[in-house]
Amino acid sequence: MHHDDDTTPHQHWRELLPWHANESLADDERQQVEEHLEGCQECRDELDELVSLQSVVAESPAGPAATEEGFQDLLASVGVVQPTRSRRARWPLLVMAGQAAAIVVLGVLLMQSQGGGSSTDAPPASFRTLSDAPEGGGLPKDEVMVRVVFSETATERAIRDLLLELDAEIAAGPTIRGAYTLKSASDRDGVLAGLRASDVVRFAEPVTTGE
Amino acid sequence: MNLEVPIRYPRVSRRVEDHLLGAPGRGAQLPPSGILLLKLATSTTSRETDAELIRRVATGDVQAFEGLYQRHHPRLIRFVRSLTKRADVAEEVANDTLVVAWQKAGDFQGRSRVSTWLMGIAYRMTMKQLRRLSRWWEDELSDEHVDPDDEGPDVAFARHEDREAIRRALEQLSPEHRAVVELTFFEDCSYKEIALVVGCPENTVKTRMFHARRRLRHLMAESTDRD
Repeated sequence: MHHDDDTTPHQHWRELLPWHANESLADDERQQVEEHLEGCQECRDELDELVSLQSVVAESPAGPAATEEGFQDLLASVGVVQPTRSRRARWPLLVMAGQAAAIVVLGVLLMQSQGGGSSTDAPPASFRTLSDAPEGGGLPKDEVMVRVVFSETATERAIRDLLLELDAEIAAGPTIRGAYTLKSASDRDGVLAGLRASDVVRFAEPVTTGE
Repeated sequence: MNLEVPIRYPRVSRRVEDHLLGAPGRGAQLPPSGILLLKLATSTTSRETDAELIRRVATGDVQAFEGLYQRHHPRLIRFVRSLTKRADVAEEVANDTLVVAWQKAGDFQGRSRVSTWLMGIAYRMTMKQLRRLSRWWEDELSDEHVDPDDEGPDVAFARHEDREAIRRALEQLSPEHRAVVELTFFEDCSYKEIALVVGCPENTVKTRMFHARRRLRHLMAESTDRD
């Protein structure tokens, strides 16, 4: 037991009661407080008070739920992404849909090693996903993420037109290698095909995770 | 996909609740029925621990950062709002805290919980903001000298039946005292963790709690006298 010389044992254990109430004391301290409580009515009364206080504090309202809009603003403030041009509230949809929007993990090298790298190939079973893909083997339709590198000569106007055409928006980037992550609610293969067909895109691949 | 699984338990500490729920944004409260709907999300970030997320954030992983944001932004807002009573300041500090987390994730040593680290950043920013806003409760800061015999009025707030009065009294605590109460009873922090968050010795945490409770008794006694 450690307590200051000018503190009585009773006072010492009493000061620890709030953390006995929230069950965060180390085992030895908890044991010693419990031993003290057995013989001290005053501390038992005080513990009752603390439990009441705890319940009032714990039932106070939680903070407002996090939103995608708020996150986009946060990203903008850390310089990771421009503020989005359209603020569609997707999180609630994602939550309600059980986060069904699976993001297929597919590296370009792996694609190529699987034979030709056709963008219409269904993902092999070894691909890791962020969440379970929808039943039926279809590709996720709710949201896709694609990493692109734009041509160095691409104008802002050309990039903007392309993104509008594909209903895609910049979710992150640029990285130090000049890559952007795009998000789109459109069909993944359509977005990929559209990007790859464009003169302003040097490189496009589905986003992988766990990099 | 999400699964909702109703479970019943007698009492569970918030720390355990965090574990069960993957540390969500404090939206869940135990209903009187004692049945809690467990949401079992299957997205990667919701399954990852805070420490795993912060490691990924350190590599510039935006998805992990989003996971951290979803998990901690509501808690940070709630914590700062309880100290400042200002929704705008709470929003600003919560955002700034996560900006620091993004920038300094690589510095996180794992010697404390990520939530403790974030709360510490938020607390320092909050106090700086309050100083800037000239809302500084000087009279509440002299809590390093405690007279254990000074109990304040003989009003035991636990026996006070009006929970609303406790709530009103809590609202009048100084930011320093409210922080210790919130961190103890909402965040379930140990006194050692609180010392890290607020940047003071452990004994000071204990005396601040002592003073906070004494102050609550005073405020409730005043409230009772007025009624």
